Amino acid sequence: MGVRQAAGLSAAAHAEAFFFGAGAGSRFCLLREPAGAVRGNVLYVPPFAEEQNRARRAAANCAGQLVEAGFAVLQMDLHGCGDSAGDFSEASWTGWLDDLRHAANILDRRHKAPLWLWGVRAGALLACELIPRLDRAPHLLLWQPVINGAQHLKQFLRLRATREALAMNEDLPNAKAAADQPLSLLDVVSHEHAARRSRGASHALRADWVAGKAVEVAGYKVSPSIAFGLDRAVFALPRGFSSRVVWVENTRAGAERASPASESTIATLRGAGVAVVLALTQDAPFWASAEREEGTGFAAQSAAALSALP
Amino acid sequence: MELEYAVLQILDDTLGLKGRAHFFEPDTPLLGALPELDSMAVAGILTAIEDTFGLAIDDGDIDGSDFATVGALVQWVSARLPA
Repeated sequence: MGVRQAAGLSAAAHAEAFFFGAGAGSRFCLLREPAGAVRGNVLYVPPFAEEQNRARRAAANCAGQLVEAGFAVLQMDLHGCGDSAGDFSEASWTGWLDDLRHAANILDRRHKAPLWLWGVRAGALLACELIPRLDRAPHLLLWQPVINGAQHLKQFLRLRATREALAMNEDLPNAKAAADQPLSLLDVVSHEHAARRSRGASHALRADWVAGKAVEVAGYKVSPSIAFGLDRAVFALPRGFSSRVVWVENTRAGAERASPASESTIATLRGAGVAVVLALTQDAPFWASAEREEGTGFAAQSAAALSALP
Repeated sequence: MELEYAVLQILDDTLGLKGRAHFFEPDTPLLGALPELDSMAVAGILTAIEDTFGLAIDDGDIDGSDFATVGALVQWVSARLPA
């Protein structure tokens, strides 16, 4: 199955896979372009670690719909991910931002059109930090954005500690390695602290990171740079941000509202004068399950929202 | 009860049960009884609980017994919701 067919594109649209950079700087890109005029450029900013893989299908579905709506969509593998050069353990947070800035420039050279950063999950945090690095303020398309990087990192580290915490007997491939490690999450800061301050990682892991060592979690070797970058990141827009924000989130318990944290963040943004369009979908959480979720709701809401805005 | 429905939906989504979770009763056993409920799934459920209810769970705050049955888990979440 060719790239075009796999990408679900109509015959008129165009898909191109290429690398920018060379050697250790080589980065894989997939660019989809509409047949006709390009009304906007969309740069995909991927989720963190395993969520990246789980999001692939839903992201591909949406990319196809955005192209049908007249947008050029660029997806790339960041340093140490997918088909790009490097090991995950070599990646750095600022390196990832450089990769994305480079990709944004590629889009800008291809088509003079407004840029949308499509931040999925923790990609939203990268998107926020990417904004000041770009020549012009982009719009934001956010999918279930992660608002607190430290909590996201803590949730990721939980994969390592849960087994010990629940005294479960499992034959994990890294079981022996995990058993030799100090219990990582059972001595975290108090509940109050965790809620208020962004200090997710336990002292033991932090010591490893401070010493410059990558820490292995669920098959991912997390470098100190990535750990600290994620740990420090919070969803925040630069003062005076006046571009558009489309926020797509799922709601599963029948409630017609976003999560408490999202509602609070959106209220803060709106209070600061940022125009936020909130779109809710009943989709299953594709980033959280091993099932290949289609994310049809996320795609439909995104295409509709981007098409509706001038 | 809305809380119970939300917790069952989290179980259903995380474990890939395709709707089966909504047939669970409060005394339906979870940990040790559901093959899908491994440590990764537990981590995923805790994360989903945090995100859905706006909680920050101290991992020293949970115990195997909190996952023993549906009812135990619902009660654990309920006790941590803002009043």
